[in-house]
Amino acid sequence: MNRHEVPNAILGLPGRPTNGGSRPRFYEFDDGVPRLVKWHPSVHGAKACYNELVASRLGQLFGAPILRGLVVYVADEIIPSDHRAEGAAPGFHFGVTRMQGENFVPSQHYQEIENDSELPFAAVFLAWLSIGDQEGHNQFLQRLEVHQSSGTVQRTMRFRLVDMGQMFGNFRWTAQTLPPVAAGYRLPGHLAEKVNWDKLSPAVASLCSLDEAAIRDCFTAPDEWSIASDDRDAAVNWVLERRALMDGVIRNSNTSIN
Amino acid sequence: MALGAYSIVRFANDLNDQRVNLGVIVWHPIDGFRFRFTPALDRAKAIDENIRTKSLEEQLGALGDELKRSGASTRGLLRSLSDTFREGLQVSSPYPARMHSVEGCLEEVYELLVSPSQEFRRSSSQRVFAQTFKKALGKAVKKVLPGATVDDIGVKQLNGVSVSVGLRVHGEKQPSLWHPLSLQSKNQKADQIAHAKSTAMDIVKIHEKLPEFNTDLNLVALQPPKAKSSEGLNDAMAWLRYTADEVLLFPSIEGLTAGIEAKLRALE
Repeated sequence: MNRHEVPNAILGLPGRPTNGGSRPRFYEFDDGVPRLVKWHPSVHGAKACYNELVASRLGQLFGAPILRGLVVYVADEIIPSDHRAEGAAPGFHFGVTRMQGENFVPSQHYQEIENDSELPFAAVFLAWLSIGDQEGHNQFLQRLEVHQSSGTVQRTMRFRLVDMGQMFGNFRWTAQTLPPVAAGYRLPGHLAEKVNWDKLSPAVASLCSLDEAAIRDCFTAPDEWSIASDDRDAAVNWVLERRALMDGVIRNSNTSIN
Repeated sequence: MALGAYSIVRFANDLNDQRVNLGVIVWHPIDGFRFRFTPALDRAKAIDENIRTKSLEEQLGALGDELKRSGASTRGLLRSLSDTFREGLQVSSPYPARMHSVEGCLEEVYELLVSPSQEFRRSSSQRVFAQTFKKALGKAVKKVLPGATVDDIGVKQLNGVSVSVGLRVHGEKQPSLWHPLSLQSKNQKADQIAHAKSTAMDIVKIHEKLPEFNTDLNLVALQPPKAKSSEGLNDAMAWLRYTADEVLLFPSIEGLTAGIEAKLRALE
């Protein structure tokens, strides 16, 4: 991959996310966007960044409430010594736009968000890709303030899914270790309480109508990440097969949903 | 884009393990060092109520002097400062940075790490700039035009209208009225133009209603808006040039005294 196809880091920032297990760091990029960089290869496992990238693309394709992430490049000369000491290395990594907001507190924030209609898509998306580590955290309240040239300020509060490192429930899956395609998926409890089948069915139908080629396109990655073609093909086939089984995947593990 | 570096200047309380950022220093391989420290040093009291802001001010002054003396070739200075300033007031190890311009990078990093733009919106930069300018003008006049005086004429009421007359420099040479104007905290184009028009209108009224200043040159010292919100700068400049004899741009406070001295010499 040519590094100039993607945003290049121009400076590292001193801050770091609390409890960022994969030691991600913030960088400013040459397109003017500050992003959180997750390093490939990740200390969590060889597929962590690939999972984030593919899930982000599939999320955009499907219309799930998830931030857009992309491949970014961090050059050797830009990495500060304290980042390097924690495992930062030059090359292609996964970068996600730094989000302004706060932890999602279900009891408080469900009544405040404006994107309720995206919750069924969030639920179907998590179940489709069998995203792990979503119970109790990795949902976020995004607060946006857009300052219009007229001087008015438009404020939005949106539910967002973050951290897709455990797609297929695993940081280091291979073609051989993918879970059974019909395996059930237990939704985060608070999310399951907010959806019903009247809302989920249209989201499942929308998933089934996605173009197969568009789904396949979401699985490309920089050659430098060395994703085995067998693994990629197996993953593509898995998600294509699973979308037809979504009804059972969700129903069997979330019996409280009416 | 040139590869430079930046360091954060912060106050750290090692006992309770809290830190507060007070400024940034940026090094560019051609343009050298630029720095910006927050005037609100009392924010350090949030993490150490016993800290004396006077002492912080003195240390920052020493730091600033060192940076002013240093040229672009002293690339190791940030590293050496980070070794020296380690207790209380700290200079972080340099972070590499690619930058289009040293001023742009300084502004960006300062806003990101020290003072978010909201703070600028709350407190106008005009008062700070006017005070700084007044001091710098006094110093420059003493040096370049010994014997000349600076009078702060202030605001005069003319037929119920408040007109800001500015700072008057007069002596043996051509007298001049200086009008410091800062647009740095103005992020909206309309705001920038409105403030420029206001100063332009002051000058019009001085010409019309204050004959004692008729022979004075009217000079506007303009601190431009932040680079990323300078949409209205050209229009603002056009309004000021329409009525003033000259508009002098001061993008950084560091260049203020030298810029004023150069203009005063040209007036001789």
